[in-house]
This record gives sequence, C-alpha cells and structure tokens, in this order.
Amino acid sequence: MPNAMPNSIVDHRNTMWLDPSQFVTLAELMQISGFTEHDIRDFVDIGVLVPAASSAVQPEFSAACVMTVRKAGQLKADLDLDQNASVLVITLLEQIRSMECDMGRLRALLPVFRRL
Amino acid sequence: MKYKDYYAILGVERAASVATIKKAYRTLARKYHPDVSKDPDGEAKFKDLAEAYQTLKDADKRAAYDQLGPHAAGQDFAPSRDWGETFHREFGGEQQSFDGIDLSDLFANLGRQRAAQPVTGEDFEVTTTIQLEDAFTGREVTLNLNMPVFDNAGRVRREAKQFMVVVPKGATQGQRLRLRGKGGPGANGGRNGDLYLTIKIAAHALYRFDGHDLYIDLPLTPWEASLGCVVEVPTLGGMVNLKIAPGTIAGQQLRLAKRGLPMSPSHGELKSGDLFAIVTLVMPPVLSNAESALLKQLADISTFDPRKHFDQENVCA
Repeated sequence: MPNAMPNSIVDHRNTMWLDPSQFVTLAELMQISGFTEHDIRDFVDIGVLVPAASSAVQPEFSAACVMTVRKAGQLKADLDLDQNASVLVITLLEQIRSMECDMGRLRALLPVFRRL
Repeated sequence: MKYKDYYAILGVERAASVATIKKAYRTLARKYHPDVSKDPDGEAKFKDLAEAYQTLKDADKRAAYDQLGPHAAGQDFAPSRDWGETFHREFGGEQQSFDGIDLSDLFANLGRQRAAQPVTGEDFEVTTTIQLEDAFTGREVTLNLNMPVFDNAGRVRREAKQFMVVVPKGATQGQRLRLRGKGGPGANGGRNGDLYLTIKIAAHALYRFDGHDLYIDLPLTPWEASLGCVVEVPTLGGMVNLKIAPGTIAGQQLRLAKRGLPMSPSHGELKSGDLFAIVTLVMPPVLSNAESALLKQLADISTFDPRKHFDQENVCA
C-alpha cells in the first residue's frame, strides 16, 4: 500500500470550493443533504437558510452553507430527528461556524510572546 | 464472518417491539454519536448501533437475521445453504457465496437486491494538513481511503484506494472542497457519493492566518518606533522593506497590501489577501550602564503619563 501508485487524479471540473464565492442549486443541496425540497423551502421560510440574492425562479444557495446543511441531514438520519430539531441543528451549527471564524480572527491578532 | 448480537448491542430482548428498538437506538445514538462522544470507542460503537438498528427496524431483514440462529458475539460463522436459498429468493438476486463479506454487508446487500432502488454511494470526509507555503503555491496531496467496491454480483467489499488531489494556491484554513462523484460507488443506478476534503494549515513559526490575510509580529525598539525607520519584513514572496513612521505605537497594524495568500479567480478582481505587521515594542533584555543612564535621563525629563486614564475620578466606586 505505501508503494501503491495513485490510481486516480481528480478532475477539477467536478470540484467545488465550499465558500461564499460558489453557489449550489436547490436540487444539489437536496442531493447533498438528503433533505426534501419541502424541508429546504421550509428552512428558507423560517429564515435559517437564506437564498443567494441573485436567485431566479429556483433558489440558489451559497456553497458556504453546504457543510452545515449536510451535517444537519446526517444528524437527522443518525438520530431520527424531526423538522423542528433540524431547524435548531442548522441554527446552532451556523452559530458555531460564525464563532469559529471569530476565534480564528482573534487568534491571528494575538501577538506571540517571544523571549529574546 | 463474525456474528454480532444486534439485540445485545441495542440492549433489548429478542422479542422487543419496533418502538422499543427505536427508543433504545435513539438513547444510545445520542450517547455514542461521534460528534459528542468522548468514549475512545464511541465511533465504533455508534457504527454497530446504526448497523443493528438498520437491520432490526426492517421486518424482513430482522426475520432474516433471526433465522441465522443463536451464536456467541464475535463467533465465526456462515449462514447455512438453506438460509442463503430462502432469503436470496425472497430478496431477489442469486445464491451467493458468503466468503469475504461481513454481517453488515450481508444485510446491506439483501436490502439492495430487494429494493432495486437507486442507492447513492457513500460520502467520505477527509482532512489533509498542508504547510502555509503550500497554500501560497498550491500542491498535490495523496489521500488514502477504504472505498466500497461492488463486484458483478452486487456484493460489496472494501478496497484501499489512493486519490491525488491538487490543492490550488490560495487554499485557506478550514476551507472545504467537494469532489463530486469521488466517494463510494452507487448501486442500482444510483449516483456515486462525494468526497469532501477539509484543508488544515499547519501552524507557522512566523505567520498567523485568517482567511487570505496573514499576520506577523513586528518587534521594534522604542527608539525605532518613536523616531521612525525602515525595517525588512519577511513575506511568503521574499523580504520587503517597510517604512515605520515616527510615533508608531505598540499594537498598531501596518498593512502590506497583497502580501497575503493569493485568492482564486472566482474572487474576482481581488488577487491576494494582505499581510499585517503588528507592532510590538521590545526592550533589550540587558542594558549597559550607558543605556541605563540615558533612559534615566529620559525618565527625569519626560512628562508623559501612560496611565493617566487610571485617575481615581474616572473609576467607578
């Protein structure tokens, strides 16, 4: 195994950075998360998911939300959660993500003490 | 294959109702879920729980499992020929050998044959750690995964596979990449799963990072900060000269534009993050007599009070 040659080089046409500069369609988000169209439209109506401003008839979402929604879908499947619980999960996961970003920013600003 | 006592795993009697099984699963799943469990074996226990639940909650799979007969947990066994003939007839598909497959795959295979519905392949999540310099230039990383593979009869086995992925320059800490269709294979015409790659950047001796911006501590002596000077600052693209204006103070952030990590073309006209040099004032650890005398002279003539805001009148009682 350590000497095995890589048997696949990934074609980057099928790759997507999951950040705010990229977008996913409603159908893709359903496919990734396992939620139905009804579930996702419900999340939008409640306000836990916000479609991208440029959305036309079918909503598009920032790719940055993919991991949150996917995780919520996994937890729903693993723990047999209902829709209300899924809403709470998405809300809390987004808060955690936001706090992790803030912490990263604050850590970057903290000087490192060096004894010369 | 090794026998697993699914009833014991869930802590229920063999005659337990579906509702009891579901309740037991939910309770234990909350305890051993990988996201919350501190148990070092939590992930393996959760996997067993999920496997037990998936089998016992399905009436047909449960019946097939019960017909395997009693065995000790961990015991090597093989389903009887009669069992194979009965349940493969019921679920569809042909009689197969049970060599080289385990209990979870056995019931997964049965479900797949019965359902004949498209089954999406397994998703994989992998983290790879790169150096900051790699994020600046881009690099190839090799991922090692245990992928499910289907043979012609539709049976699943696990095989070690390697993937090479190019992490482009401009990758940032925690950034995630979705590789469509590069996860486990789908079945019955279902799509392949995806591979999710999370980038971690190893701590750097000089730089801290936040997104595409970099931060570096810039130690100055008090006289350099007060009088102004030019200093050399290391960037990922080489050393640059930075002009320090007179009166620079500790904590000030001096921006070196576009000296951070490059951005991908999807970010539009912005090409790079910035490098921020955070000023820290540093005194020599040991002062000579002459240096001490000069500092005492400064102390005697200066009227500067850095703690003026500590005035008692400004403090709440």
